[in-house]
Amino acid sequence: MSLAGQPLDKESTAEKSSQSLLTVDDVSIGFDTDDGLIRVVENISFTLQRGKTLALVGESGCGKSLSALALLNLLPSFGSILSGRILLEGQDLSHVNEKIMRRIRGDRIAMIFQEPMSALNPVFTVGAQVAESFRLHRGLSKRESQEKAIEVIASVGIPDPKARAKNYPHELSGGMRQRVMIAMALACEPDILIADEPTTALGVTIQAQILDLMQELQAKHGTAILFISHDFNVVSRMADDIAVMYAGKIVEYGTSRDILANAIHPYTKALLETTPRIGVSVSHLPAIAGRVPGPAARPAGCYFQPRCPISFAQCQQVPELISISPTHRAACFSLCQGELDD
Amino acid sequence: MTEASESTNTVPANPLIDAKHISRVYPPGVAAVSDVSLMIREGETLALVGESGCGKSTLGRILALLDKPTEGDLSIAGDDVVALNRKQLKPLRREVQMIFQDPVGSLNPRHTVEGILTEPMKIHALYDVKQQDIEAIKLLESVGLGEEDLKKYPHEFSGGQRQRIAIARALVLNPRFIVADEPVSALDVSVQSQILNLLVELREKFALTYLFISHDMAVVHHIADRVAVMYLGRIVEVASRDQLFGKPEHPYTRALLASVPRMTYKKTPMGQVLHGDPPSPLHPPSGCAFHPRCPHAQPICRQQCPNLEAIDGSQNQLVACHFRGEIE
Repeated sequence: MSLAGQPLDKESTAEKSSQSLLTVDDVSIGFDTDDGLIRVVENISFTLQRGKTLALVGESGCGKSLSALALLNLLPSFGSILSGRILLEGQDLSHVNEKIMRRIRGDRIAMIFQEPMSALNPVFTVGAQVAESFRLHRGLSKRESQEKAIEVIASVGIPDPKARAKNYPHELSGGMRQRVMIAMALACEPDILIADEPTTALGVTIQAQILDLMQELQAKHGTAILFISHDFNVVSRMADDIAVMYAGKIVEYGTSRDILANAIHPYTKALLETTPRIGVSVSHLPAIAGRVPGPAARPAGCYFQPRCPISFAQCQQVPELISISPTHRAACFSLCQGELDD
Repeated sequence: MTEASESTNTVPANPLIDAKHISRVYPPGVAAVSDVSLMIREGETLALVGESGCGKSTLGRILALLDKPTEGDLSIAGDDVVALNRKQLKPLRREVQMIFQDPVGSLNPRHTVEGILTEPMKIHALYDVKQQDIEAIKLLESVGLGEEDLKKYPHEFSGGQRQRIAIARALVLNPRFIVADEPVSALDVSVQSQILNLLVELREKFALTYLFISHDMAVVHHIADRVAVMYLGRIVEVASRDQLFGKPEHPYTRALLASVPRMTYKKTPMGQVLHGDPPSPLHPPSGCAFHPRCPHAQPICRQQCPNLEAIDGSQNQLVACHFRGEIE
């Protein structure tokens, strides 16, 4: 494998964006704190394509959820997009007003969350909550939207949809609630679905059902999915492409095979190795020493360098994403040095 | 590989924990644990797996002496504990400790680490005051923290460090048996592996026996010697790790293992194996609780609840299924 690469130039990203549904281009997100502005997400770029799933993988605090919320203009009040563009088929969403954004949310881009109990409204029936988006985005009457809601609830595999539509969230099981969330998100057949750890709160047999349901619906509607997870095992089943985030940056980006079978970045490799796997017996898991630095305490140069087993002098500088193949990029100086031992 | 670990599992060791026909029924008649018999040998790690609501935490709390069974017998190191009152239980509590999932909820935010670690010594009147601090520092060092952390409060630590403090506290009284209830579920992958390594290390160092409660089969595969699978309050299968992962017998165990996503390099459907939700203990199905979701269910499964029995002559694999040994 040729390791000599060139820093990725901006033009090639712009060129690609013409075929993609949504392009995040060099976006940074900041928090306004008492100690001044802190950059929490730094210069991330990725693209979502119709019918494809991109997984954002990383540990808590790496900025994966924030990046997703930024797409919907749902950053917390002290957060803002500092620079970069979010292009939905050419329209820049990074600074549109709330009125336009409300039309996009739920209609073109929808989101499902980890904990359906806190994302669903406890005082409305699930039918009413699914029906809401038909009234808001499609202008249907109350009755029409209720009929549509029952159709959608049936389409996510909930038995007896007519009766279930009359249930309140607390009357349903965790798996059923997550199906309702998916029904709500997919009601208006959005182009893009953001799923933030959608199965983390579920048991494994239910997780398998929900993951399959998402793939089924994606195949049917050609939805682009941004799948956020910390679990490589789940991601390997869902993703076409994977972006690995560390401390607010994308450190490696490629196809699922690029990342899972040919990981280059020492963080990606360490993360893959430290994940316990069935069938692999080791007395000691290869652990990553130390922990992820907080956004206010990020070191100089490469953010992974203090924990990196192969760091060297050059790592005091900031690495750029370098192309390894047309699909695979990583931000690590070992690539230029050819110092990588495999 | 299989033979080596099987031989360690068949070494006859004394049962440290012996539960016989334990049930825990909450009013108005909800059985969280039903007729569970379970033996844990000295020095082994038994993993208790199952999906949320299956009763694994309730069973863990009973074995940790934090709850009492409404029926059945429990002996710890040969002592029958069910009949004992609070006062009689106190010396036994030193033998049994618990580690919880959420170290934020299980550490008192108003106590320093020193207070947290010396409180159990005070309650059990161990060591003089000076020695208590020395012991606390020793414990901190054995979990990868240090003397400088003694005066800090829980909020000053990261999640992984807090779990280390919770582990140190569990070790204060020099217990023989630790119930760890999802101890790494709230942690990030890289921290999770640090804590798992620590638990393995401490098991050797202090000759501990673990009941390791988890829903994560990959973590269980890593740490367990034997595995017990629970479904709706009952144990449906117990076997050595390699037997359970290699030749699962109960249809639920098989479905559970098939539902675990395993690394592939290509987007692939899970090929879901189980339809429907786990039943509610408020309305348990008749007969075998798994029959409504079981692909092999026969009329007898609706009528009779199968017993947990050996699949061959040995006690290495116990299965609660009417068709044990018959399903391909």
